[in-house]
Order: sequence, then structure tokens, then C-alpha cells
Amino acid sequence: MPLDDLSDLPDEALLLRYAQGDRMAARALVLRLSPRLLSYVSRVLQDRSEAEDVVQEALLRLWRIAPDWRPGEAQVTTWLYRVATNLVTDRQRARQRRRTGALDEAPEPTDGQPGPLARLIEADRMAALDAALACLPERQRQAVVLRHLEGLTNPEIATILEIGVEAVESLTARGKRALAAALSGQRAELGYEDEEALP
Amino acid sequence: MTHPDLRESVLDQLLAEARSKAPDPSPAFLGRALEAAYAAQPAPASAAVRPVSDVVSPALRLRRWLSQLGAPAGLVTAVLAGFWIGFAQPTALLAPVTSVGEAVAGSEDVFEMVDLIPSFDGWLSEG
Repeated sequence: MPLDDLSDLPDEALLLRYAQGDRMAARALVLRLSPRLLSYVSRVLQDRSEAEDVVQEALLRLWRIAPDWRPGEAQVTTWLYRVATNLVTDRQRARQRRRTGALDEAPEPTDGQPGPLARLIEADRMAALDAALACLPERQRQAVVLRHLEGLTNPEIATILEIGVEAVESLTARGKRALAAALSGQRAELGYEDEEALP
Repeated sequence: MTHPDLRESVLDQLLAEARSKAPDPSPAFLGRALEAAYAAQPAPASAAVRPVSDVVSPALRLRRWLSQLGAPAGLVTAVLAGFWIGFAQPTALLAPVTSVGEAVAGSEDVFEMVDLIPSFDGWLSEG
């Protein structure tokens, strides 16, 4: 079956074909799932190389579970996002442990110098957004990226983060407010100065 | 009044812009991912060498088992038939013949015992 024909098949059908040894299904799944997953993990981890490792690991777990996949129990993308989120959380905690050790030896910031966020933010809006996202607490960042950048629904995010829908709503609302606050000082760099001046 | 934070619509605009500019995976990364997918993929069912016991269905296995009983079953049947012929009442055997005779002659008294080869003593006395 040509790859074009496989594009109409749902993820689950492709995964079942993958488990039966269909190489075209393997290719279709990689091309379909990798970009979405990499986009999410890159935004959350803020490190492309590390994000690629996480996506590889998450996909590998999907391939391993494929022969035992039970149709109808879970969506492939939701399952994959959840695995990736857990891997991301592990990496972020490992980072925090390393950072805690490094901070003890870091010099104290002096007055007048731009803060870490200001140094990270460039004229590019995306870089500014990424820097603002990096300032959010871990769970808020994951929820905001899944909701507003990946376009997932609140129930899907609730499944991925293994929390209630109300908790997702709270996380995304607080995350958006925090984003707005973090970016408010960068209106000029973002090119929104004139718009903000409007009544 | 100017809100100190970005207005929500502006933030939504920025997020929508970011959504449309999702980073694309590099060809090298896709190649690695595909290689890993192939490496972890189970072999196609048709190409896989599986034990015969796994391939044959239970119904077929039962049929094969029964077919192996053919020779002994025939032997047992022959022995039982021999015993039945030996011990059964002759009337039971003659019944079908009688029925045929009735059908042909249309009468119940169709049998007449004829001594086609008379005994040697009778032949000597009668000549």
C-alpha cells in the first residue's frame, strides 16, 4: 500500500500494521508523530538535542508496546505525550539537581545588569516566548504548551498530565497570566508597543 | 487604561504565531527515528518461521489425529462384524433375501428347497 493511502488511516490502525511488520506503517507513524512530539518536547525542554533524545526514547517505547497494544483503550498520541512528559519531567529534575550545585558557585548578580530573562530575550518573538515559557513552573509550562501550542483539549491534557480537567484549566490560566507578565516588559521587542498603547 | 501585562489578545496572537512555526525535525533525526522503528519492528507474519504446532489450527490437528486412527478402526470394525455374523440368528440374515423373493414372485411361499446335488446313497439306491 502506498504511503499516501496510509495517511488516511488513524494512528491506532497504523500501529497495528506496524506490529504486523508493515514497514510502510512504520514510516508513516514516524513522519506523523515525530514533528508533533518534537515540537512539544522542544518547547518544554528548551534544548533541541535533548528533545530529540526524549522523542527517540518515547517512540522506542511505543514500538516496544505495539505488539501488545489494546485497541480502543487509549489514543496513541495521548499515550505518547504522556510518556514524553514523564521523560521530560525526569530530565528537568536532573537539570535542577545539577543547577542547584552550580548555583552555589555562581557569582551574585549585580544591580543594573539585565536579568536572565532579559539576556535570553532577543528581538525575535519566538525566542522571547521560549524564554518566557522557560520561566514558568514545570507543570504550567507543560499545560500551556499542550493547550496553546499543540492545540490539545483539556481532557486530553488531563490524561497526559494525569490530573483532573479543572486542574488543567487552572494550570493553563495561571500559565497564561504568568506568560503575559513575563513578556510585558518586552512589548517593544515583541513589536506590540503600539497595540498596547491603544485604549 | 494600559494593563501592565500583555493584553490577552496579543498573547494569543503570539501563541498562534508560535503554533504555526513549530520546529521541523531534521532529516538526520527522522532517519535515526526510522532506523530505530525498523529495528524494533516485529518480523512480518508470513516471513516468520514458526513452530508447526503454532501454525496448525486446533480443528486441523483433531482431523489429523482422527485420520491416524483409520487402520486400527477398520480392523476393529472387521472383527466386530465377524463376531456378529457368527453369533447372529440366521433369520436376521435371511430377512432381506425373503423380502426380495416376495417382491419378485408376489407370494409368500416362494422358497422350495431343491437338492441339486443328491447324496451318493440316494443315487445308488434309485439309480
